[in-house]
Amino acid sequence: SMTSSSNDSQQLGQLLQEPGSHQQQQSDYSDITEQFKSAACHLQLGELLQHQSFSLYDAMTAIEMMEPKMDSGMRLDREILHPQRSAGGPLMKLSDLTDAELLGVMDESLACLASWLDGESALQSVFINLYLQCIDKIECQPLRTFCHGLLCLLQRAKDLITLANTTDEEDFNPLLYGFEAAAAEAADDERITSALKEADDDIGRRVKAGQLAAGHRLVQHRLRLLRSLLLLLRQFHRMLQAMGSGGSADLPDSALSVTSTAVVDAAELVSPAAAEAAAEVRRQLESASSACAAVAASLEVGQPAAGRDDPRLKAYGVQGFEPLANLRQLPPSFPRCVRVFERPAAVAYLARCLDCFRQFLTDVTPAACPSYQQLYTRLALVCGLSSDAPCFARSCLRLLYCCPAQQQQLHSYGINLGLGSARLFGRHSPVEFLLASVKQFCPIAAGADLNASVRQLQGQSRQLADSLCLQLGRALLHQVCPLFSRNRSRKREKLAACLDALWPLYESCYCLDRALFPNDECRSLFLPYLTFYLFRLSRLYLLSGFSLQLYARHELPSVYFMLGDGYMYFLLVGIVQADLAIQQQLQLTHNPYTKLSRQHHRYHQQVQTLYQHHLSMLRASNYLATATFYALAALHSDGKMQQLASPHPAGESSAFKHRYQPLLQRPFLPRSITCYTNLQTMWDSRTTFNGQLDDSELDEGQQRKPASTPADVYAEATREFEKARDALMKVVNAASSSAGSNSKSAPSLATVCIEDWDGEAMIKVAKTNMVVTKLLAAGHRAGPQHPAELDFSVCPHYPVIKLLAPTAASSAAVAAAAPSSNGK
Amino acid sequence: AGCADGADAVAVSIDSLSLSEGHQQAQAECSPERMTALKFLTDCLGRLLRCTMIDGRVLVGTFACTDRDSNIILAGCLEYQSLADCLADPRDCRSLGLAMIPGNKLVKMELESFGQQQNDVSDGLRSDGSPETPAS
Repeated sequence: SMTSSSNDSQQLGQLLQEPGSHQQQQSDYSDITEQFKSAACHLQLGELLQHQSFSLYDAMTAIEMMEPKMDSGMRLDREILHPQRSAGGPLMKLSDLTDAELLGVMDESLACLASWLDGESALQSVFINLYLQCIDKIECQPLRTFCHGLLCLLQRAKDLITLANTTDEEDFNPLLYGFEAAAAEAADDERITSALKEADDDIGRRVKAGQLAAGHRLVQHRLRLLRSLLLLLRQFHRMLQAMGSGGSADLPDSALSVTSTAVVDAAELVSPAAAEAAAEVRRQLESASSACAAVAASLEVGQPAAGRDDPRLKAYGVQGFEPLANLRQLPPSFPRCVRVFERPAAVAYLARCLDCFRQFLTDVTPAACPSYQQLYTRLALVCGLSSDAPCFARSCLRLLYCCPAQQQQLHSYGINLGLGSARLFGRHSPVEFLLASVKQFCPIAAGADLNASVRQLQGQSRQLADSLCLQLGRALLHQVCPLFSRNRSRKREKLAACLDALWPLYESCYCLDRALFPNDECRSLFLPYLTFYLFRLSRLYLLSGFSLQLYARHELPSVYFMLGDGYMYFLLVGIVQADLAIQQQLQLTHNPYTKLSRQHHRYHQQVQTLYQHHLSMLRASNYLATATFYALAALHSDGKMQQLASPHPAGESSAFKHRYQPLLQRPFLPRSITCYTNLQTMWDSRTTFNGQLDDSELDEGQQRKPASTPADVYAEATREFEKARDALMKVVNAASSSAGSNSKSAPSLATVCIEDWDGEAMIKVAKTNMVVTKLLAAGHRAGPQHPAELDFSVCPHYPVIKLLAPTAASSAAVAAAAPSSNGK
Repeated sequence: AGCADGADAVAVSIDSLSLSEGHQQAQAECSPERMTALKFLTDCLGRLLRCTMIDGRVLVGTFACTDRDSNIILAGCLEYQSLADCLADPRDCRSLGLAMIPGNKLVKMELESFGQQQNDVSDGLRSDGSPETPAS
């Protein structure tokens, strides 16, 4: 019976999965070449003869043989080196390597190491050095110890990075493709580091004695580099162990609550063993850095990799390197040619790893009782380092601040920083830290002693306070901080998860505020704080779509709607109201006649400045987004940009819900109108002359905006662009002028790492668009015969509107559509 | 009508628009030579084919598809570096899955004679279920 399942093609081949089955058939093959070819000629052009269960889809997925892009096993004109067969030959010498050759091998290995750390697969980076597969045969001692050291380093680094668990898919490839055995064998790093030292000293002696050329000194640098890296990792592990477990991580949640008085044990952090290990780490760091610099200065001596660009045609050029050697172990399709780092870039990469390491070791040494300022700095470092740093550095950072060093517990924490990590917080309870941060956000609302007021809560309110603080702290530390990783699509997912975690706390915050200030309706503390976070995260979520190129042209209006008045506005209002209330209180309590009051006033103003600064940034981008929305509406109704219309208007509502799902969960929706209806209303009222709106969808009291001409909407856009420009300039000027005086105001939890903000670019966009929309409002170049285009090169999030020269097509279209249209 | 018998053999034209056209053409060219040729090729479908390419590599796989230029698609294909390797150690191979060999890169094709026809696979290999004599 003929089966038609899609598995049949595999089934067809299944009888061949046991290669041994061929054995019986050796004599059973008959040559049918001529017969086949002549039979095939009888087929028509384009006609296929195929098995019943073979489909067109299968045909498309087949690898084409003898096609260089697809066939990785293709025999080439040149000899492909083989680790066993070529060893000892002229292209893979085992002894008597010249300086240039030896240095070439070592430098190229370092380049491959850097490429591997950067995310390439080991098989196509580190292991193209075939010496690693036959170390015991190498007679040249420096080379042998170098290879041993390299394997050992590979294993250590891989262990460290996988333990830290900070990487997403393409950041790092931990597979060692069966070379684990060799790596594990080489993993006795005591032996290897002493062997490296020995080789190093040996060369030094022989050069002095005149037995070796002076150029051999350069080899010493490479050996030294490997050795310091290995020792660095070893000392780092020792340090982590000496610092002990996380301390308060083992405490239950109730002990971590805001109203408990449990004390966190941080004694181990500053024990002498830890300090000694830390000092060792620093020493090795310096040694590695200087070796790195020495290597960087002498890269031109080594034999260059001439065949790097096209390994199929040319031999690689470095002794013992063969990029095509391991391809049989990879899946057969699409042989990816890995571009190994250029040597200077590779050494720079390693130097960068070391620099990052140094930064978080010296700036933020674990201390028993760090000040809040230090804590904020640490968090800023964690966030800032995460987005751009090499994954090796990120991993070390994570291990440093993460909780217990036991493997299982680390893995179960997943991406968590460890809420109770004593290494991060010292003796402070993280919840205390959260309260301090909240207080700093709204100091007047918080009053003199927030901790005391919280502790005074009774019964249900107290429980609410405890659980809320814990949840909020956990959400913020666990999710906001590790957010920033290199993988942008994962980051977008994490942002969505953050929003999901934070939105449910909205109601609790409101209740807690009312419990804390039962007599003061306007006074709110936790709610604006939470809203501030939601605002930032929502904005980041929306903006991340740009870099991932997620938004189709017709979705742009909705994006700017959400970024601007449509959605962000509501959040902004929440924060701004709290701010206003505070300002009012400030005015009320300010008595200019008393010195104390003046000092008080000034202090509060200073502290407020930081938050206000950030609020202004966000408000300015709000204006810009709204302005862009209006501009797009005008461009659409003017016929300049046809692609803004949705191709499937019927499904638009659900597409909208899907696209913005994490943002649409807000509770306390003041009206029954959905966000989408708002969007429709705002868009339609500006794009249709005869606004066919369904009045039943409007809320009571909401007026339908009168239909506007494009000129009106352009004018509206111009005004908004102007507002945006002014706000942006104010922000940028304030930033530059207060850069010096920032030393007084500490960075704070809520303001670490505002990403995706490029004030200068946004000002440029606002200015240009303001001029353009002004011209268009005046009727200049109206009509669809002057099409417009959006240019994202200045600022990736906000486009510049460019008017194009009238094309023949657009003119013809206009002429065909409306013979009596407005003239040019 | 007589031509239609042999074509369980699925002679399908790539261009779906001209499917009926191709069919008509096939019907128009119902010559006995074409019928024999098609039958021969159809008999080969689903059987092991050992192909030698111009660079010396040998690919062994189940014959799944071909066309006028003798471009062959093999399923469950195994790649050997040379015929000698293939005969010496059948395990020293790389599994390619589905592979297409352009006709102009083929030097030799060898068909396995009846031997490894396992029941679960042979269902569907023959149109009438009976073993065929190997084409010589």
